[in-house]
Amino acid sequence: MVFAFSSHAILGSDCATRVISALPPMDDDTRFCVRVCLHEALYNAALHGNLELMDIHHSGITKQVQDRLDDPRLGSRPVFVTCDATAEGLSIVVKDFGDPEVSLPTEDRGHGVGGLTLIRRLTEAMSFDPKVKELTMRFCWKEAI
Amino acid sequence: MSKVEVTTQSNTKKIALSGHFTAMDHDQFRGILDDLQSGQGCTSCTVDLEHLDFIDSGGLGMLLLLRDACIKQKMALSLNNAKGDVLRILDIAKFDQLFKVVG
Repeated sequence: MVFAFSSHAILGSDCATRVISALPPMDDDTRFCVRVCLHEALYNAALHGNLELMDIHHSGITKQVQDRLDDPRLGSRPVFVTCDATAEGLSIVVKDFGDPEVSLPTEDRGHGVGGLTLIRRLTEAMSFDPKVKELTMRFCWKEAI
Repeated sequence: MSKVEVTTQSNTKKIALSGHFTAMDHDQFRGILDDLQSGQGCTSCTVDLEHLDFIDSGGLGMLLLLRDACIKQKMALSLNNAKGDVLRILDIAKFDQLFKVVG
């Protein structure tokens, strides 16, 4: 199952919930983990990937985001979400189209509660390939539905 | 986007968050941080999370900026009334080690 979102849609609506609603039924605990991780992965893909923003905690970030969304070179880049559900669990790959040569944060800095920390703590496994700009997350079903 | 309401009662600044608190709320929240840093005689600050449905890493980062501002102003800070998914995200981020979390 493949979904395509614009960065504008990701930052302006709840795309994570839209993806989950199209997936097979899952237990509440798994749904919580998938929702949080998918939200973080989508925001990372849009802000740090497609829009190539390094730091989001500064004054004027809202205008900077809007300026980059309005830039056809950056704002037109999509984010692809590929989901594969099996009897054992769920695999989700989030791919952005940012410049792989731009050095973007792949590890959390400072406070240690960045998106990748949350994803690492809520998935069975996660990996990020900066060359192809793909974040892969794996979840095991906690309960049979 | 989150709705942010700020009130002051005696010496306590109360910040009430509702909805979804994410990185996109930074500019709105920055105004509150600037107000705190200007100093208005408050000795404590509480963040009411009762009506907050969701918080992401960007929102957690802003709470850490608030913590830094309160430390600088020598103000006590607590996170109050978190529940459901928000409380669970605070737990996963180990915020109980950084903040006074009040049920």
